Amino acid sequence: MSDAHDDPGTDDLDGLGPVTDEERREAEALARALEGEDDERAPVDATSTAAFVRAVARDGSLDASVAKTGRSVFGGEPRAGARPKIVRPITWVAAVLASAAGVLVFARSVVPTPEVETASRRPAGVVAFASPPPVPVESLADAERALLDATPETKDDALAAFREAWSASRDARLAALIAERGGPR
Amino acid sequence: MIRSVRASLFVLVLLAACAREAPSVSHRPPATPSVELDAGAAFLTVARATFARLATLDPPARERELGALAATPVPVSLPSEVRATLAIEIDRELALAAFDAGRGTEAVVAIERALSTAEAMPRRDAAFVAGLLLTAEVVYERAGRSEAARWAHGEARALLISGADP
Repeated sequence: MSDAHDDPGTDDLDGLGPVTDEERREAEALARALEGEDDERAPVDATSTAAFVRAVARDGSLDASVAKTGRSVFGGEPRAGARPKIVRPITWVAAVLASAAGVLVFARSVVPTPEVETASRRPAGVVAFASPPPVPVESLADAERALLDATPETKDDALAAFREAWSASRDARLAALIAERGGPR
Repeated sequence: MIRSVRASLFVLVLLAACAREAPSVSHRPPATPSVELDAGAAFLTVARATFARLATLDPPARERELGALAATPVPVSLPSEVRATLAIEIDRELALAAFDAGRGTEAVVAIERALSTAEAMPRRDAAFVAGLLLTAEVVYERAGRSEAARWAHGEARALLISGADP
Protein backbone atom coordinates (compact mmCIF):
# COMPACT_ATOMS: atom_id res chain seq x y z
CA MET A 1 0.00 0.00 0.00
CA SER A 2 2.74 2.35 0.92
CA ASP A 3 4.47 1.52 -2.36
CA ALA A 4 1.44 2.57 -4.30
CA HIS A 5 1.35 5.96 -2.58
CA ASP A 6 5.03 6.39 -2.99
CA ASP A 7 4.90 5.58 -6.68
CA PRO A 8 1.65 6.80 -8.24
CA GLY A 9 2.89 5.71 -11.65
CA THR A 10 2.52 2.00 -11.01
CA ASP A 11 -0.63 -0.07 -11.32
CA ASP A 12 -0.20 -1.53 -7.83
CA LEU A 13 -1.97 1.41 -6.18
CA ASP A 14 -3.43 -0.41 -3.24
CA GLY A 15 -0.76 -2.96 -2.53
CA LEU A 16 -3.02 -5.76 -3.74
CA GLY A 17 -1.12 -6.42 -6.91
CA PRO A 18 -1.40 -5.01 -10.41
CA VAL A 19 -4.83 -4.25 -11.78
CA THR A 20 -5.94 -7.00 -14.16
CA ASP A 21 -7.42 -6.38 -17.59
CA GLU A 22 -10.83 -7.48 -16.44
CA GLU A 23 -10.77 -5.09 -13.49
CA ARG A 24 -9.63 -2.34 -15.77
CA ARG A 25 -12.53 -2.96 -18.18
CA GLU A 26 -15.05 -2.90 -15.33
CA ALA A 27 -13.54 0.27 -13.98
CA GLU A 28 -13.67 1.87 -17.43
CA ALA A 29 -17.30 0.93 -17.75
CA LEU A 30 -18.00 2.40 -14.35
CA ALA A 31 -16.08 5.52 -15.22
CA ARG A 32 -18.06 5.91 -18.46
CA ALA A 33 -21.32 5.46 -16.61
CA LEU A 34 -20.34 8.02 -14.03
CA GLU A 35 -19.11 10.48 -16.61
CA GLY A 36 -22.32 10.06 -18.53
CA GLU A 37 -24.22 11.50 -15.58
CA ASP A 38 -22.09 14.60 -15.48
CA ASP A 39 -20.55 15.83 -18.71
CA GLU A 40 -18.57 18.51 -16.94
CA ARG A 41 -16.66 16.02 -14.82
CA ALA A 42 -13.00 15.53 -15.65
CA PRO A 43 -12.12 12.19 -17.27
CA VAL A 44 -11.70 9.44 -14.75
CA ASP A 45 -8.54 7.43 -14.54
CA ALA A 46 -9.70 3.88 -15.00
CA THR A 47 -6.82 2.26 -13.25
CA SER A 48 -7.15 4.37 -10.12
CA THR A 49 -10.87 3.89 -10.08
CA ALA A 50 -10.55 0.14 -10.47
CA ALA A 51 -8.09 -0.08 -7.65
CA PHE A 52 -10.25 2.07 -5.42
CA VAL A 53 -13.38 0.10 -6.16
CA ARG A 54 -11.58 -3.14 -5.52
CA ALA A 55 -10.14 -1.89 -2.26
CA VAL A 56 -13.41 -0.65 -0.81
CA ALA A 57 -15.22 -3.76 -2.05
CA ARG A 58 -12.82 -5.90 -0.12
CA ASP A 59 -13.30 -3.64 2.83
CA GLY A 60 -17.05 -4.29 2.56
CA SER A 61 -18.06 -0.63 2.51
CA LEU A 62 -19.08 -0.35 -1.13
CA ASP A 63 -22.57 -1.28 -2.17
CA ALA A 64 -24.62 -0.77 -5.25
CA SER A 65 -26.22 2.49 -4.20
CA VAL A 66 -22.82 4.00 -3.44
CA ALA A 67 -21.54 3.08 -6.86
CA LYS A 68 -24.68 4.45 -8.55
CA THR A 69 -24.70 7.76 -6.78
CA GLY A 70 -20.99 8.26 -7.16
CA ARG A 71 -20.63 8.89 -3.46
CA SER A 72 -17.15 8.08 -2.19
CA VAL A 73 -15.91 6.63 -5.46
CA PHE A 74 -14.15 9.86 -6.21
CA GLY A 75 -13.93 10.94 -2.60
CA GLY A 76 -15.51 14.02 -0.99
CA GLU A 77 -19.17 14.93 -0.84
CA PRO A 78 -21.83 13.37 -3.03
CA ARG A 79 -22.38 15.11 -6.30
CA ALA A 80 -25.21 17.66 -6.35
CA GLY A 81 -28.46 16.18 -7.59
CA ALA A 82 -27.17 12.64 -7.56
CA ARG A 83 -29.98 10.23 -6.82
CA PRO A 84 -30.46 6.50 -7.06
CA LYS A 85 -32.14 5.86 -10.37
CA ILE A 86 -34.22 2.94 -9.14
CA VAL A 87 -36.89 3.44 -6.51
CA ARG A 88 -37.35 0.10 -4.87
CA PRO A 89 -40.83 -1.49 -4.90
CA ILE A 90 -41.09 -1.41 -1.11
CA THR A 91 -40.86 2.36 -1.27
CA TRP A 92 -43.78 2.51 -3.67
CA VAL A 93 -45.80 0.13 -1.49
CA ALA A 94 -45.12 2.24 1.59
CA ALA A 95 -46.07 5.41 -0.25
CA VAL A 96 -49.31 3.90 -1.58
CA LEU A 97 -50.26 2.57 1.87
CA ALA A 98 -49.57 5.92 3.46
CA SER A 99 -51.68 7.70 0.82
CA ALA A 100 -54.55 5.25 1.26
CA ALA A 101 -54.43 5.70 5.02
CA GLY A 102 -54.50 9.45 4.54
CA VAL A 103 -57.54 9.28 2.27
CA LEU A 104 -59.39 7.04 4.73
CA VAL A 105 -58.63 9.31 7.67
CA PHE A 106 -59.74 12.34 5.71
CA ALA A 107 -62.94 10.65 4.56
CA ARG A 108 -63.79 9.56 8.09
CA SER A 109 -63.35 13.04 9.45
CA VAL A 110 -65.35 14.77 6.70
CA VAL A 111 -68.20 12.49 5.63
CA PRO A 112 -70.92 12.20 8.28
CA THR A 113 -72.42 8.82 8.97
CA PRO A 114 -76.00 8.25 7.78
CA GLU A 115 -77.26 7.71 11.32
CA VAL A 116 -75.99 11.07 12.46
CA GLU A 117 -77.34 12.74 9.37
CA THR A 118 -80.77 11.26 10.04
CA ALA A 119 -80.75 12.22 13.67
CA SER A 120 -79.59 15.75 13.03
CA ARG A 121 -82.20 16.43 10.37
CA ARG A 122 -85.21 14.95 12.10
CA PRO A 123 -87.57 17.74 13.14
CA ALA A 124 -88.46 17.94 16.78
CA GLY A 125 -91.54 15.99 17.72
CA VAL A 126 -91.56 13.82 14.63
CA VAL A 127 -91.54 10.11 15.19
CA ALA A 128 -88.46 8.32 13.97
CA PHE A 129 -89.16 5.78 11.24
CA ALA A 130 -87.53 2.51 10.78
CA SER A 131 -86.32 2.49 7.18
CA PRO A 132 -89.15 0.93 5.20
CA PRO A 133 -88.28 -1.92 2.90
CA PRO A 134 -88.39 -0.76 -0.70
CA VAL A 135 -91.78 -1.51 -2.18
CA PRO A 136 -91.56 -2.29 -5.86
CA VAL A 137 -94.31 -0.95 -8.02
CA GLU A 138 -95.05 -4.50 -9.12
CA SER A 139 -96.28 -5.44 -5.64
CA LEU A 140 -98.94 -2.72 -5.71
CA ALA A 141 -99.87 -3.64 -9.26
CA ASP A 142 -100.05 -7.29 -8.21
CA ALA A 143 -102.35 -6.44 -5.33
CA GLU A 144 -104.50 -4.40 -7.69
CA ARG A 145 -104.77 -7.27 -10.16
CA ALA A 146 -105.64 -9.64 -7.33
CA LEU A 147 -108.42 -7.30 -6.25
CA LEU A 148 -109.68 -7.01 -9.82
CA ASP A 149 -109.85 -10.78 -10.19
CA ALA A 150 -111.15 -11.49 -6.70
CA THR A 151 -114.30 -13.55 -6.24
CA PRO A 152 -116.92 -12.51 -3.68
CA GLU A 153 -115.33 -14.99 -1.28
CA THR A 154 -111.80 -13.63 -1.63
CA LYS A 155 -112.66 -9.98 -2.09
CA ASP A 156 -112.21 -8.96 1.58
CA ASP A 157 -108.75 -10.49 1.77
CA ALA A 158 -107.79 -9.01 -1.58
CA LEU A 159 -109.02 -5.59 -0.45
CA ALA A 160 -107.02 -5.80 2.78
CA ALA A 161 -103.87 -6.79 0.86
CA PHE A 162 -104.46 -3.98 -1.61
CA ARG A 163 -104.84 -1.39 1.16
CA GLU A 164 -101.66 -2.63 2.80
CA ALA A 165 -99.73 -2.54 -0.48
CA TRP A 166 -101.03 0.95 -1.18
CA SER A 167 -99.91 2.19 2.25
CA ALA A 168 -96.46 0.68 1.79
CA SER A 169 -96.14 2.16 -1.67
CA ARG A 170 -97.23 5.57 -0.42
CA ASP A 171 -94.76 5.42 2.44
CA ALA A 172 -91.96 4.57 0.02
CA ARG A 173 -93.00 7.40 -2.32
CA LEU A 174 -93.08 9.91 0.53
CA ALA A 175 -89.73 8.69 1.84
CA ALA A 176 -88.20 9.18 -1.59
CA LEU A 177 -89.69 12.69 -1.86
CA ILE A 178 -88.37 13.59 1.59
CA ALA A 179 -84.93 12.26 0.76
CA GLU A 180 -84.91 14.27 -2.47
CA ARG A 181 -85.39 17.40 -0.38
CA GLY A 182 -82.61 16.57 2.03
CA GLY A 183 -84.67 14.97 4.76
CA PRO A 184 -84.28 11.56 6.35
CA ARG A 185 -85.22 8.56 4.32
CA MET B 1 -34.09 2.94 0.96
CA ILE B 2 -33.89 3.34 4.72
CA ARG B 3 -34.65 7.01 4.32
CA SER B 4 -37.76 6.19 2.22
CA VAL B 5 -39.06 3.71 4.78
CA ARG B 6 -38.36 6.19 7.53
CA ALA B 7 -40.27 8.89 5.65
CA SER B 8 -43.23 6.57 5.06
CA LEU B 9 -43.33 5.63 8.72
CA PHE B 10 -43.27 9.28 9.65
CA VAL B 11 -46.22 9.96 7.36
CA LEU B 12 -48.15 7.05 8.87
CA VAL B 13 -47.48 8.22 12.41
CA LEU B 14 -48.53 11.73 11.43
CA LEU B 15 -51.78 10.48 9.91
CA ALA B 16 -52.49 8.34 12.94
CA ALA B 17 -52.01 11.37 15.14
CA CYS B 18 -54.36 13.40 12.94
CA ALA B 19 -56.96 10.62 13.13
CA ARG B 20 -56.84 10.67 16.90
CA GLU B 21 -57.10 14.43 17.04
CA ALA B 22 -59.94 14.76 14.51
CA PRO B 23 -63.28 14.91 16.33
CA SER B 24 -65.50 11.98 15.52
CA VAL B 25 -68.69 12.83 13.69
CA SER B 26 -70.74 11.05 16.31
CA HIS B 27 -69.41 13.49 18.91
CA ARG B 28 -70.60 16.54 17.05
CA PRO B 29 -73.44 18.39 18.70
CA PRO B 30 -76.74 17.80 16.90
CA ALA B 31 -77.61 20.50 14.44
CA THR B 32 -80.80 22.50 14.78
CA PRO B 33 -83.31 20.56 12.69
CA SER B 34 -85.73 23.40 12.07
CA VAL B 35 -83.00 25.39 10.38
CA GLU B 36 -81.62 22.58 8.25
CA LEU B 37 -84.83 20.90 7.15
CA ASP B 38 -86.53 22.20 4.05
CA ALA B 39 -90.13 23.32 4.71
CA GLY B 40 -91.45 20.97 2.05
CA ALA B 41 -89.51 18.05 3.46
CA ALA B 42 -90.80 18.88 6.95
CA PHE B 43 -94.39 18.87 5.71
CA LEU B 44 -93.88 15.60 3.84
CA THR B 45 -92.36 14.09 6.97
CA VAL B 46 -95.39 15.08 9.02
CA ALA B 47 -97.71 13.75 6.32
CA ARG B 48 -95.81 10.48 6.21
CA ALA B 49 -96.05 10.12 9.98
CA THR B 50 -99.76 10.85 9.86
CA PHE B 51 -100.43 8.27 7.16
CA ALA B 52 -98.33 5.72 9.02
CA ARG B 53 -100.44 6.20 12.17
CA LEU B 54 -103.77 5.69 10.38
CA ALA B 55 -103.55 1.91 10.38
CA THR B 56 -103.61 1.87 14.18
CA LEU B 57 -106.60 4.19 14.61
CA ASP B 58 -110.36 3.77 14.45
CA PRO B 59 -112.28 5.64 11.72
CA PRO B 60 -113.20 8.74 13.81
CA ALA B 61 -109.61 9.18 14.99
CA ARG B 62 -108.38 8.73 11.43
CA GLU B 63 -110.74 11.43 10.24
CA ARG B 64 -109.46 13.80 12.94
CA GLU B 65 -105.85 13.13 11.99
CA LEU B 66 -106.63 13.62 8.31
CA GLY B 67 -108.59 16.79 9.04
CA ALA B 68 -105.63 18.22 10.92
CA LEU B 69 -103.29 17.33 8.08
CA ALA B 70 -105.65 18.84 5.49
CA ALA B 71 -105.81 22.05 7.54
CA THR B 72 -102.03 22.39 7.63
CA PRO B 73 -100.80 24.89 5.03
CA VAL B 74 -98.85 23.12 2.33
CA PRO B 75 -95.51 24.83 1.61
CA VAL B 76 -95.53 26.50 -1.78
CA SER B 77 -92.08 25.10 -2.39
CA LEU B 78 -93.62 21.70 -3.00
CA PRO B 79 -94.38 21.01 -6.68
CA SER B 80 -98.05 21.17 -7.65
CA GLU B 81 -97.95 17.50 -8.58
CA VAL B 82 -96.85 16.55 -5.07
CA ARG B 83 -99.49 18.79 -3.50
CA ALA B 84 -102.18 17.26 -5.71
CA THR B 85 -101.03 13.76 -4.81
CA LEU B 86 -101.19 14.59 -1.11
CA ALA B 87 -104.72 15.98 -1.52
CA ILE B 88 -105.74 12.78 -3.31
CA GLU B 89 -104.22 10.64 -0.57
CA ILE B 90 -106.08 12.58 2.13
CA ASP B 91 -109.41 12.32 0.29
CA ARG B 92 -108.87 8.64 -0.39
CA GLU B 93 -108.18 7.95 3.28
CA LEU B 94 -111.20 10.03 4.27
CA ALA B 95 -113.29 7.94 1.89
CA LEU B 96 -111.96 4.71 3.39
CA ALA B 97 -112.56 5.99 6.94
CA ALA B 98 -116.18 6.75 6.02
CA PHE B 99 -116.36 3.39 4.23
CA ASP B 100 -115.11 1.57 7.35
CA ALA B 101 -117.56 3.54 9.49
CA GLY B 102 -120.43 2.50 7.23
CA ARG B 103 -121.11 5.99 5.87
CA GLY B 104 -121.32 5.19 2.19
CA THR B 105 -122.50 8.54 0.90
CA GLU B 106 -119.68 10.44 2.60
CA ALA B 107 -117.24 7.91 1.26
CA VAL B 108 -118.49 8.44 -2.28
CA VAL B 109 -118.16 12.21 -1.98
CA ALA B 110 -114.59 11.92 -0.75
CA ILE B 111 -113.45 9.40 -3.36
CA GLU B 112 -115.03 11.38 -6.19
CA ARG B 113 -113.15 14.44 -4.97
CA ALA B 114 -109.96 12.40 -5.15
CA LEU B 115 -110.81 11.19 -8.67
CA SER B 116 -111.47 14.74 -9.84
CA THR B 117 -108.12 15.89 -8.50
CA ALA B 118 -106.39 12.98 -10.23
CA GLU B 119 -108.13 13.77 -13.49
CA ALA B 120 -106.80 17.30 -13.40
CA MET B 121 -103.20 16.19 -12.96
CA PRO B 122 -101.07 16.56 -16.09
CA ARG B 123 -99.10 13.40 -15.37
CA ARG B 124 -100.50 10.33 -13.66
CA ASP B 125 -98.99 7.04 -12.71
CA ALA B 126 -101.02 4.12 -14.06
CA ALA B 127 -100.77 1.97 -10.93
CA PHE B 128 -101.68 4.98 -8.79
CA VAL B 129 -104.82 5.82 -10.79
CA ALA B 130 -105.80 2.15 -11.03
CA GLY B 131 -105.59 1.85 -7.26
CA LEU B 132 -107.73 4.94 -6.91
CA LEU B 133 -110.33 3.47 -9.25
CA LEU B 134 -110.33 0.19 -7.32
CA THR B 135 -110.88 2.11 -4.11
CA ALA B 136 -113.75 3.90 -5.83
CA GLU B 137 -115.17 0.53 -6.92
CA VAL B 138 -115.44 -0.81 -3.38
CA VAL B 139 -116.78 2.51 -2.12
CA TYR B 140 -119.43 2.57 -4.86
CA GLU B 141 -120.34 -1.02 -4.12
CA ARG B 142 -120.81 -0.29 -0.44
CA ALA B 143 -122.98 2.73 -1.31
CA GLY B 144 -125.14 0.62 -3.61
CA ARG B 145 -123.90 2.37 -6.73
CA SER B 146 -123.39 -0.81 -8.77
CA GLU B 147 -123.22 0.91 -12.15
CA ALA B 148 -120.54 3.31 -10.96
CA ALA B 149 -118.72 0.37 -9.40
CA ARG B 150 -118.69 -1.49 -12.72
CA TRP B 151 -117.39 1.61 -14.48
CA ALA B 152 -114.56 1.98 -11.98
CA HIS B 153 -113.77 -1.71 -12.26
CA GLY B 154 -113.62 -1.56 -16.07
CA GLU B 155 -111.45 1.53 -16.06
CA ALA B 156 -109.03 -0.02 -13.56
CA ARG B 157 -108.81 -3.25 -15.53
CA ALA B 158 -108.17 -1.44 -18.81
CA LEU B 159 -105.53 0.63 -17.12
CA LEU B 160 -103.76 -2.33 -15.57
CA ILE B 161 -103.85 -4.31 -18.81
CA SER B 162 -102.66 -1.54 -21.06
CA GLY B 163 -100.49 0.23 -18.49
CA ALA B 164 -101.47 3.49 -20.15
CA ASP B 165 -102.89 6.56 -18.55
CA PRO B 166 -106.68 6.72 -19.16
